[in-house]
Amino acid sequence: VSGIIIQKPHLRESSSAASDAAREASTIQQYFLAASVVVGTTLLAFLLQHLIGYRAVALIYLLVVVIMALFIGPGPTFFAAAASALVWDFCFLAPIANFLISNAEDAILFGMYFAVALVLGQLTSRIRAQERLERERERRSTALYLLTKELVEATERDDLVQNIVRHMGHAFNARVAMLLPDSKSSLGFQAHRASNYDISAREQRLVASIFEDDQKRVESAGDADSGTHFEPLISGGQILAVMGLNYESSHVNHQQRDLLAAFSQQIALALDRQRLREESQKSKLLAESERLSKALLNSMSHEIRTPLAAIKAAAGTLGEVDEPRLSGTQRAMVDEIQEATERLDNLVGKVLDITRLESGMVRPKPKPCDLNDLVHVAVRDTRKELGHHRVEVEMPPGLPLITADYVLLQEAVKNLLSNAACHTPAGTFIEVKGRIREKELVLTVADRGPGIAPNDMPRIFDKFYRGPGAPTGGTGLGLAVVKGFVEACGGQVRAENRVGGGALFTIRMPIGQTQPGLVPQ
Amino acid sequence: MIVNDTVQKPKTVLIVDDEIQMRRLLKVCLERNGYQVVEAATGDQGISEAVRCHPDAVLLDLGLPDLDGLEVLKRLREWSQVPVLVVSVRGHEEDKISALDNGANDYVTKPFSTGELLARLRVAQRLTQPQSAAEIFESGPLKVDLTTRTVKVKGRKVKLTATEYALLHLFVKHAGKVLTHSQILREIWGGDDPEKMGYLRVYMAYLRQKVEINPAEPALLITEPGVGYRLVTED
Repeated sequence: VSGIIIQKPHLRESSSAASDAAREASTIQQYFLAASVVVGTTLLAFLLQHLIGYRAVALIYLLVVVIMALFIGPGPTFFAAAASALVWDFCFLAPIANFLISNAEDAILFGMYFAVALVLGQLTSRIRAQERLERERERRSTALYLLTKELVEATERDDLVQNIVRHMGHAFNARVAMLLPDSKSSLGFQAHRASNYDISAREQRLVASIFEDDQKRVESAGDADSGTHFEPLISGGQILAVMGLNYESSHVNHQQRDLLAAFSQQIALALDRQRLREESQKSKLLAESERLSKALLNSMSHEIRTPLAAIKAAAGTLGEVDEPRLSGTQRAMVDEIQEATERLDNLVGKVLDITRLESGMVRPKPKPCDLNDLVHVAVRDTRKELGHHRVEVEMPPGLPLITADYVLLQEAVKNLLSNAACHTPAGTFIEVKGRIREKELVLTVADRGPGIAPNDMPRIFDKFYRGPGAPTGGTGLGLAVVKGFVEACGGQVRAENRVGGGALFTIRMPIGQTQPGLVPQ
Repeated sequence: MIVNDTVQKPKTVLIVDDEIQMRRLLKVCLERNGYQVVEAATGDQGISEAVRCHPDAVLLDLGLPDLDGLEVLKRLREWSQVPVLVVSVRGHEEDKISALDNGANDYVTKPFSTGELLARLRVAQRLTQPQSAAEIFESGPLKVDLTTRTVKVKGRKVKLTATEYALLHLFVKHAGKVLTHSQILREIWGGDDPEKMGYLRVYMAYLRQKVEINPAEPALLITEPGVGYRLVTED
């Protein structure tokens, strides 16, 4: 992409050239200063040398160098030391006007002089570097402190962004655009309305292409034409937002860049905190509404059940009367009422089952069960729905007792049977087979109906899911109940299509201990 | 003039249910079938009505607003052996079991048909009446002679082991009434610890093999899911 500068670390180093130049200028001044001080000291020394002797002159030079070291850098200090030593040697040490040193005492003095000047220069410059660093650190922590304070004060997302824009603009003398992820925007990031820099459509595309396509990218980027600098705000390895800075001044020194990195980190943390706060609020709200709907469902189920019982009892009484006065039509109506009541009761029962499952109130109580008996009862209790189907039960002889929750497992089988009855044409076979494989019960309910459409397959166990074209009369809850009960017992249920047409549901369940030798065949 | 009370006097049924509509309906239904009905809307009222009118049967809803239905049952059982039928809802098997183990005679599950209710009521009353020395029990193809301890299915003699006979005898004594797992375990095996549950399942299968026409689809010894078993009677 043209017009983008991806800033690599080494670019950041070279960008500090401007401030280096400034420092260079002051260094040259320091050399001049050092030279002139040495010259001045030499002149003074000429006047005094007859009074105090040439060795004291060396001490005066040393004193001057030490004092200078407090103000100038290590280079100029060393220069001053070297210059004054040579000048002393040349002008004051016999033989005068050359660099020879005639006696050992003077040679030692000359050497010591160099050593002391060098050490002093190093020490003072180190202290000064430390001091400068300290000052820099303090300035940065103050700036960060101010930023953090502002970030913490904001409780709403909009306030937070507003604070960021204001603070960053102030600290970096720039106009700021905050780009936040937006699901509605095709570009992924949308400028927040608190931004005071309007990014162009081109810049926005650029941001999207850089940061959206590659969530792993962590370097900042700049737009070559407008000079806008884009900084990704990253927390937890995820880009939470992109901050665009359009600087007023053309160059930015490396200290500001370091500061920007520190600021970005703080802002990213604040944004993350904000995101978490919003999420926790949302989940609290969700939990509350779920609790409410559960309570509603519970009381509704009870409140519906009572009038249902009344309707059923009333219709039953009406139907049982062997009244010749009851006409054929009337009798048919009574039958309709009874059937509808049963259907409604069935639905309420399933809704209750789902509610119990979802509120974690289903706790299996495994006990020894006779699988033959269990399947028989399931078939017996769904006989009405299975009236037009032929059910074949196939159980291996000598099936051991299994340890399972009788009621839950049997309800699951019942629901599978009524599901099969609902979705297959009258007169077809429904096969129920059970076997024990290792420590597992495998129970299948198979039909010869139209099977399961590929689109329905992933959602078939979802509650209230009904395939398009599913026959009326079902509740969309039966299979969800099956899944819930089976999983509550630590088992699994699976749906698939049979070879040769039809659906096949398989329940697999750990059975605990088996007790062998049940039925003598 | 002396009136023969035992024949003429209609049976009294006490209905304890907080739903007025259910009480009204049950009243109509029971009165049509020759019962006299007393109503109570709360548990406390139910107990005081039971003390006052000595009903022949009690229809007790387990979901009462003031007292737990079970509590009413326990208090009733402290002084009375009146047959009690509890009304429960599907999925509340625990409630049914604890009601039965605490002296309820049977249960019906809401919503129930009136036919079912009347049948249960008849069985409960029959069982609490002083046993006329009925030594022969018959239901469908099954015939049990309690004096000679012989069991016949479709007229053919069937040999039962001692435990099987004890089990069948227990069902015959309580014919038509549901027996909970723990009731059976206590009667036959002398304790209802859970590991004995396996015995019951096994012996029920044995017994069905011998007395049922089609053991895979029992018609006499039927399972009440999650609660227990029941021996079906003719009525």
